[in-house]
Amino acid sequence: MPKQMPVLSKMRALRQAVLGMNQRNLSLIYPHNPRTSYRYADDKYLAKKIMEAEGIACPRTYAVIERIGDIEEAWNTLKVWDRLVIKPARGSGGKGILILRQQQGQWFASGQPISEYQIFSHLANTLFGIYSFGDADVALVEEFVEPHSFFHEIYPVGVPDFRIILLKEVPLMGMLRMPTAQSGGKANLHQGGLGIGVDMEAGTLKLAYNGKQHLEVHPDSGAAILDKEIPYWEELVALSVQTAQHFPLDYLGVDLVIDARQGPMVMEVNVRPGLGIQLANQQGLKEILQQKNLL
Amino acid sequence: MTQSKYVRIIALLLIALPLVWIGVRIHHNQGYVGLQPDHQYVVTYQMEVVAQGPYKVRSFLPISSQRQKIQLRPQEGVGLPSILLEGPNKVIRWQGTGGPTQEIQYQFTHTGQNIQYQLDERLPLLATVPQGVLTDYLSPSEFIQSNDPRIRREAERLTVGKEYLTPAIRALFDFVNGMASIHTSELTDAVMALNRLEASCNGKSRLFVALCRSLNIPARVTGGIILENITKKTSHLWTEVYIGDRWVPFDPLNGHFASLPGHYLQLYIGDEFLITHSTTQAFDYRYVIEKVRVNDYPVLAALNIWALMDDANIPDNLIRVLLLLPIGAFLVSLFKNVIGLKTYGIFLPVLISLALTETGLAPGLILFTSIVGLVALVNVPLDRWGIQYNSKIALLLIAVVVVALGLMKVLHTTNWLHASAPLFFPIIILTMISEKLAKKIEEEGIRKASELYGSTMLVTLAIHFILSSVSIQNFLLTFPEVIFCLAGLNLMLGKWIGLRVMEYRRFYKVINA
Repeated sequence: MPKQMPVLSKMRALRQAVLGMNQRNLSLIYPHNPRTSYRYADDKYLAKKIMEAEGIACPRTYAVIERIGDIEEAWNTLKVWDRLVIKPARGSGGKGILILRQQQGQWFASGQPISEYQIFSHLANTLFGIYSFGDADVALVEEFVEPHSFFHEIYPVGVPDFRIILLKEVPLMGMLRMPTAQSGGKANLHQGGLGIGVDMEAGTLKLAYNGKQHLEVHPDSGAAILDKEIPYWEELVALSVQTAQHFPLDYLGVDLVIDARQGPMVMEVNVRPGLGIQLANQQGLKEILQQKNLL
Repeated sequence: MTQSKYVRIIALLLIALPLVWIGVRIHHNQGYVGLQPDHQYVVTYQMEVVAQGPYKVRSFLPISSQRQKIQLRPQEGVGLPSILLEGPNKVIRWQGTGGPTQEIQYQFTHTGQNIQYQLDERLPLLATVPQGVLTDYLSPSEFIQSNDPRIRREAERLTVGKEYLTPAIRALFDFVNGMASIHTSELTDAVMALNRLEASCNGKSRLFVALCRSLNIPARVTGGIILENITKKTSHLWTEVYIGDRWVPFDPLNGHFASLPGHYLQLYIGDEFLITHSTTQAFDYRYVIEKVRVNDYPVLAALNIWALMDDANIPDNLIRVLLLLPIGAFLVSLFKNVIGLKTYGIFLPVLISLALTETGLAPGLILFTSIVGLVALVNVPLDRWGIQYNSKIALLLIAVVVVALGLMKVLHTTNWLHASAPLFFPIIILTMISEKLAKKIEEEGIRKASELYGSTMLVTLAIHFILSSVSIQNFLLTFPEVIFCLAGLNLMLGKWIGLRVMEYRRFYKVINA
């Protein structure tokens, strides 16, 4: 085997292995995900209803606020919790998500004190649709998920999660998305986060990809990544399959976390999971789809 | 899978049938596919001579140049003419032995282009006096009395304080162009024109040349015919001035400054007469001019757009844009789905590239970028204050309108670009892209946002170059069936699942080398 593949044979190899945007849309999304079902994934409130009805493990919903007039009353029932998360149901890219922590009656958001008035106006803004392109929205208030120590061993900041992509309830590929100092707590690949490939059989981590190169350790913490064992891996996969069974979407990405006390949970469902997962895994989706006779 | 097969069959039919139809039309029509300008003129000199004894007739034939393409069509007629080059001109002479009415005919075709010269504003006025051949174009002649004191004084008065050549010429031109125009066939020389302060083409041209020459600027008159679809006897005189290292046309009667319309047929250079003849008993002449559509395929045309435009008086720009839009949209999806370049929206590159044909390329791009950039800035506080989306878009639209009006005010005072240029941009699209740009900057940083902007402009430019091709436009106007081929191509592209060119780069690291 020559060290450097000639360009043309490399291109052929890419064509054979990699799933491109055109094929993802035409062969997977359009035929498998009816347009009318997109809302089950795009609307976190709807998704949540399905998960709760079907008994799929997910963060507990404390309140759903639909009208401005309900904010104050809802808040009174929410004050009993020490930690909570406010999410716009139809927000995208993590916009408008507020993580709150209470200490002796004082609330904090990302380390800074925040007044009840500020929280109310955040909720009102959410309902106005500031974070969801101007359409009136619903605010979801949820239990705070305490990331399992597994995540903190790699990097102790931000909100990491797993993504598993499935077609017709068959898990195809997985990835751990990990924040970096550069990504500012966010785990999105195009915001500077790490995409870490997952060995689906062994339940271990592969190399981490930062958009430029593949790394064996976390660039900020130096913690070893390669071959690190993932706790609850089988449960995570099973949970993703369970989710796929109950959503009217045949091709989807399931985002999961591991809560320190409660174990694996589904956070979100995605109808158009990105293709960067192939880079994290150094493996093409097309190849896998063909191996599993799904294409 | 059968569905894909249907789509492919429909697509292939959509592509093939119109092409076959176009072939049939080409076969059944006389015309030829001449794509550059959409029409040409067939000019016929017709003369009748009655002479007792031998006679001679002398005239000029046009010469092909950058702005006019000439094809001579010699015809059977009386006396084989002799054609000789004399100086810069092609002279044609007929000789006959006399007798009853003799008919002389000569025919040629003319395909012309508009021409506009960019003049260097920084050439000095008092450069060294040119030597050599050019001295011929500095000396006074019978009707161009450039040494006349009145002419000299007028030229100096008009250019007082002018250091540069182009502004000086502009001052002389504006003066002559501003004089009253009259229609007369009488020969008017430069001095007569200046004394009367009114003249026709020949008086104005001679005066303008005389004024130039008195300032040591080489200049000459040149003659020909303004082509229109009629039979006429009038010829036209205009001028050429030597600027930099080329002869630049000026028509002081019709106000063409360093430019000439495509339907000006240039026949000779110098203060000549278009037709001269020896003494005869009777002599008559006319120029029969016929405007011929190059791209005329009337037979079997389901929709003859050229005829429609003539009959219904529809501005051809309108139809050009209408037909270009689908091509533009197809090209954008080609760039996006096959190359993998990302753009802000699908229609933006098409609309902007069409707008660029009105504003000019570089000024248009600068203008567009500054409008979008300025308006994107406005988005920053609006986002910070948490202004609702719909209101924000309405506010950005106001910003676009304000910036456009402001630019019109600024441009009005400069000669850099026409003040109405900002209006050529589709204002609504400007608003949308400004918002998208601002959002992109916020979400993915200024670098990613500029990259996307860059690739949008790249696609815009590529489309601009394709769409501004007159050949493509004329082809579309002649064969609008092509639109169906485009539909077929779009169907095929819409079912194409190959890797995009850019994806080879993006996913390069998926495979271990």
